[in-house]
Amino acid sequence: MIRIIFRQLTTLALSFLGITLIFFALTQLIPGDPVIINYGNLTPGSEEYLAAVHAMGLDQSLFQQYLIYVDNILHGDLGRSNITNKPVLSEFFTFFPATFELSLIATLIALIFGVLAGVLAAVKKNTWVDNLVISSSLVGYSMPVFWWGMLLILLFSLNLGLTPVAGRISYVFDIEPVTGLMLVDSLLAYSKYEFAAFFDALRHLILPSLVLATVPLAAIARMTRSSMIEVLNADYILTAQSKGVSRWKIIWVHGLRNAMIPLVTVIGLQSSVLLTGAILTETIFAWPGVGKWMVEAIFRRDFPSIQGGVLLIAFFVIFINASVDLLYAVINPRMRRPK
Amino acid sequence: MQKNFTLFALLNLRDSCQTLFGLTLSIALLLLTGCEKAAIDLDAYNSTLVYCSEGSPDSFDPHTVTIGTAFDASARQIYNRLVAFKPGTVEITPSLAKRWKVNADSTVYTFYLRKNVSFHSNEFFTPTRSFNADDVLFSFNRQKNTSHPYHRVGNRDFAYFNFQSLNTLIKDIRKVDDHTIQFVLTRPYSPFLSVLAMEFTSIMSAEYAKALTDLDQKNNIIHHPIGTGPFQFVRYQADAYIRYRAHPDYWRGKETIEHLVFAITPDPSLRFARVTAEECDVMSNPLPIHLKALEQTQATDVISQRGLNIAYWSFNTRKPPLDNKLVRQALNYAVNRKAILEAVYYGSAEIAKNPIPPDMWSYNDNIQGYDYNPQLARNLLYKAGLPDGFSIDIYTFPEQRAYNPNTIKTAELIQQDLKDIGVTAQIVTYEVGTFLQRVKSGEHDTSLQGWIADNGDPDNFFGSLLSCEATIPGQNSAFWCHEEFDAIIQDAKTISKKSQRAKLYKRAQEIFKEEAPWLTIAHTRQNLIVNQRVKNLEMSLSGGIFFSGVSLEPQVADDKPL
Repeated sequence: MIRIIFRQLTTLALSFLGITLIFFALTQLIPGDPVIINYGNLTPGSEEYLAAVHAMGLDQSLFQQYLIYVDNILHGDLGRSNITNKPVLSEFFTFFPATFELSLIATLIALIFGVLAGVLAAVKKNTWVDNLVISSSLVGYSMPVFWWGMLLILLFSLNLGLTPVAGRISYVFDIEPVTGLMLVDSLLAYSKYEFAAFFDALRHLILPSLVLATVPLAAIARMTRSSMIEVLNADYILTAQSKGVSRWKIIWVHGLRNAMIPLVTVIGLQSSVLLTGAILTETIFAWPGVGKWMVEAIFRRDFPSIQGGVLLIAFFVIFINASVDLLYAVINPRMRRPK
Repeated sequence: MQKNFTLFALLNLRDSCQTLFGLTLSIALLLLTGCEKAAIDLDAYNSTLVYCSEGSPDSFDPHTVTIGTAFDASARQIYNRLVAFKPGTVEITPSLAKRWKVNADSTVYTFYLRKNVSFHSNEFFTPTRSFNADDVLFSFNRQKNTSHPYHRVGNRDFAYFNFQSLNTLIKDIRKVDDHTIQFVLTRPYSPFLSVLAMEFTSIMSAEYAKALTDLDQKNNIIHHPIGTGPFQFVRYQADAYIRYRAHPDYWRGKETIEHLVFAITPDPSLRFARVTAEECDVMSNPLPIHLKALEQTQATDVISQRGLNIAYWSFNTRKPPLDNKLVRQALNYAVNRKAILEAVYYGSAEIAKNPIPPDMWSYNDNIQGYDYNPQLARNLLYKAGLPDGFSIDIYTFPEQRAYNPNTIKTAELIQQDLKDIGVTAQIVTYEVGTFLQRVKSGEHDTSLQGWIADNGDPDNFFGSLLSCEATIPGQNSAFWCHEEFDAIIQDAKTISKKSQRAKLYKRAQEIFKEEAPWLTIAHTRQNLIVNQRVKNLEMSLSGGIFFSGVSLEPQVADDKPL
């Protein structure tokens, strides 16, 4: 196990190196004066300008500059937004909880319903249930998030009036951002609103998390189905059946547990899909998360925020994948014991 | 075997599915209906007004911002000025100044300040004194003196202060006593009172500034604004919302709306969806199609008013070939404005021929505007020595404004029309803050612009947008500095007789037409969509929104939306 953890850490470090190299190269390739990009309109040659050049280490060799860049990142210094003049890292973390909350709920939905649908389809292979799952997952997988979100708003919010249109919570509730997670913060305001604010926050999560979950849900359902079919045809299932193990136990314990192994990797890969989806979903539902922040930063030509934000998202995806690989080792006995 | 297995599994699955479905259903039901029973505090609903605004303010500093969105978020709710416009008019009424006196040649203005006006308080600051002459001094000196400790805070231009040339106009500001202040001007200036009613003269607290200096947190004067206005700032979450509370000691009396929230919703369709679902009480800048869609419903009202505004396409006259009058005239003839009005404004605007709107006094109705005539445009280009056309860029931004519901579509229509006369146009889009910055630096060939009047004086258009002075901060985006024109509008500023001034402005419009530094596109009607529970909301002539004095009709438990 230690060996595996060590291997994961090495991969993590190498990926970090690779990403920083790519990003460093990109910052070199961006047209325009990096001083002006980062500090705004300074007159070249002025005292302020030269101070900025020195502060950014632009008067040193490329290799030195790269070292400074990596050093800054390791110290959590990703520069300052040239619109708000606040550190990019702290900006990122003010928006991140909203994205995290949304993605977490979406992942849960995708996981629960994706696995359920996949198992159902596998068990009832080649029946109408199977066909329904396959075809609807294909539709779900290829659904443009934008259109799908609008459709749901139109139906559930405007025509039926069941769900809110946008935002994280009704503005009637004055919720102080403590953790940034609305579900938690609304509970912290229990003394003021009891559970009303919490339920309202949940209602605001329904549509966006459903929209965000759609693509991963479809992917997970398809993967579960094929993996489950493979497992259910394996010899040990046959053995279990002949020993008289209950069908319930065969499907959910012997079948699903083994089918889950390749699935874990798929779920890890879906994390990047989830983050791209989050950008669109947050834009549709005016959800103030990292995705919306990045889109606004692009429109504002806020280069430090764009660079820092993309870098952090890249780290995040790598981190998730590394964790998933670890998890893979935990649930897959074959990975643990070297031959 | 396989078949058997499936059949068997089905039986088990059916049971488990039922349980699962049951569980899911009950959770869903709880979510959808449960909260209806868990009553949201009705009082909170009845005292909270939600305004769906069109964007994030670039700052809360009323002295430096220039766009309406930012004035709506700061000056119009948080701050007061010495004088104010009577709602819906351009008439000057007292505000922080109870009364005033002007000397015979209108160079000395004396203001007698209201007593017992209290400032807001927040986590950094609790005021120990009421508003007095020091606060007026601070608010003007901060903008006037480059060496003032708060001049560099925010590191921005005091754009309005300079456009209105107050930096050269004000010779001295004298504190006569704690509640009397005197402005001494370098020359007679008739629009001065109108200028003092504008948002950029908002009064900040000198005491707060001092407290922040001691804490070494000067920037908080912008991030945590303190004013004397009807609402005090509570919290701003970028791209999400701004929250205000009624100022308990407001000098006009506490507002009936306890909580005011700006729900920042840049997408107009989403904004419309939110107001129809009653998530918002007021929606800014509805699109013409929204107004059409509302004709059948009862739940909402539309507040509509002919606005003091103009949308225009300005030509950077410093860049050839746009420095040539003939070329600019050719571009004026080349564009089919009727098509723009139909496709972009859906008819809720009228074609503009002058740089000022028809409701502004001194509007010259005798001027014959440019009509759509591509043949004439081609002839003019030929005469200018450009028979093969040329290429230019059109700078624009992807946001909707009161004066233009869709600038990008406008740019595309112009691009099409220009193709007909052999001019290739490239559309360049930036977010509005960046757009303004770049246009001010003069890097554009042409840009799509607009202006909403800040006060009822024609000088607010001519002086701010077309004077030689305004080329320096770049607000004159045509960088057009015409000697005769400039002399006329400068003259008109010093004369106090309105009829004489009107005569001068009428002449200025003739020169403008001939020189064509802009293509004047349209004057729009300004609209708000408002839920019926909102009472007494009026639009200011400048299109700004003031929530002071607005009230909400209390709702009973049953008809309250969630």
